[in-house]
Amino acid sequence: MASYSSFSDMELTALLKKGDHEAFVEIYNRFKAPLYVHAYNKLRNTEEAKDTIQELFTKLWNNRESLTLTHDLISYLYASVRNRVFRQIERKGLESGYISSIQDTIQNGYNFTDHQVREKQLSAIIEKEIEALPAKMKEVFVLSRKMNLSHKEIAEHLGIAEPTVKKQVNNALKILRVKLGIFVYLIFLLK
Amino acid sequence: MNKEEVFELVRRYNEGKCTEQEQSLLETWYVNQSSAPAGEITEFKLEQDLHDIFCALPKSGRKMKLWYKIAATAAVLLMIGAGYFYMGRQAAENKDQIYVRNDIKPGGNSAVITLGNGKTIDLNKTGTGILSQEAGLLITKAADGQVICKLDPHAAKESSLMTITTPRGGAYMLELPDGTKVWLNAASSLQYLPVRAKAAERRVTLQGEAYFEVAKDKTKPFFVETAHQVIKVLGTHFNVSAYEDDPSTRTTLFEGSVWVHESRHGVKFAGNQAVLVPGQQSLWTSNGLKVQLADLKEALAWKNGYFIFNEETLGSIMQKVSRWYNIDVVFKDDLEKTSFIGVISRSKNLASVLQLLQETGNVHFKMEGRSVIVMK
Repeated sequence: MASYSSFSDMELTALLKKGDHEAFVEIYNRFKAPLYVHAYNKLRNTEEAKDTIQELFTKLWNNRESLTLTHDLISYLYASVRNRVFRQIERKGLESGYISSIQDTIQNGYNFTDHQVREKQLSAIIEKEIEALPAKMKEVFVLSRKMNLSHKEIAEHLGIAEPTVKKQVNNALKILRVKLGIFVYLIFLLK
Repeated sequence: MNKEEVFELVRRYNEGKCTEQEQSLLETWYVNQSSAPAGEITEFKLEQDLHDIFCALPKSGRKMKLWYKIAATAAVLLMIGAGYFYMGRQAAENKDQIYVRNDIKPGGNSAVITLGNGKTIDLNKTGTGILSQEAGLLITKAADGQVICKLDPHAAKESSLMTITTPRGGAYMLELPDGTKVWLNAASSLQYLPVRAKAAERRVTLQGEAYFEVAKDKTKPFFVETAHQVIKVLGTHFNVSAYEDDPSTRTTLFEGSVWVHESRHGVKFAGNQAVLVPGQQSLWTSNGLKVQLADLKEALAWKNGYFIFNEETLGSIMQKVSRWYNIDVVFKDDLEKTSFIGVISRSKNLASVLQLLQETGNVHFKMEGRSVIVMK
């Protein structure tokens, strides 16, 4: 059987919904480092970050059948982390540093940013976080982004051979990766 | 804003009860939280923590997969929030039986063809042989009911627009002049402009649901236009569900290749398009076009004589039921969002279908003439 690491996020999600535990493990391995680091950066506590990620993935498996993505898997996972962070903030109560920090933001005035601007800002931050990951962990995530482009779809429609598409896409990606970094992958996904 | 007010804001966000502005405020704050300085977590600690998390995640061996399959077919497992029913099960208690004086029969083969000159042909009421030879078209009906439309080679004028319409409770299959086979579901209509050999394309307009087996012709791509999308194919088998009263349009591909393009009034929308491979389905909603893996059995259930509901809301189920049985549905007690899982033949009378849904205990029905009332 083909290695699960060659499946796209969408394919893994479909398999997960059907109860494929290997797909679940692949999803965990793919996103564990970026999500953990993201949670830690907000919570600044490794125990809380661990709990957040563990609960997130446990719930993902337990509720797999009713999983519905409005956008894609990566957006869903990061949104889940954000929601858990806010629930953690509520748990910490009135006197926590979070509440003061939010107060400061309000008092210093801020611009209402719309959804798209916030997504771009989030992409930039996620990109930085992934850049800062140890090489091995970074590689797993970055490679998986390639799999989300469906070579077969592009080839069929353009009427060219699939291996040609694969080669061209890979070449393009190599250049983009060098020039623009991982930002390109994320924009592609978090649109 | 004081601390209490800020805390209240967070509380409301977690309940999903804050305004868009409040949401924007909190999410902007969230996004702008600074990142930890490099090296705050060591690589070693990171690997250790990730390993710990993995060990605490739910496990699943091969046994689990088999059990899942058994549970699904035996319908023993009760899914949270969903009712379930399956074919052939007898009513358990008489007091829960739906009392029906005049049961409602399911739909059947029924359709009307309207020619360009305004003439209508009721496919139910005609005999076999040549049904019509005018407006450039030769329409015949075989002994088995199969209707074939061909271009009339002896026609004086160019053929004109042809429309086939199914009523609620009707379905029909016919063959278009180019050899394309179309199965039309209930409450649907298909418009076709027959073309001569020198034309560059073949085009139909659809409202409702149809399954197509498009005859291969590389010189003339086949276009299916619905209210919100245009589909381009060369030679393929696919199903399109584009009912006016549905918020979404679904195109499911079984064989071949299709190109789906979002459109408004037949004009293609730049940017929002998808190429499907067999097994995929495009889903159009007001949020745009999305591609997902399809449940092929579910998508073609209607053509094969079944309803298959896979965690489908009661609102959506009753919409399909009302089209096939030609009934009105009245919802009491806010039940549209309850979801159900099950399979039932489309050839059963209405009371049988409602009975099975009722056995889940999540809903009750009352039939009054051609009206069905849905309640707790």
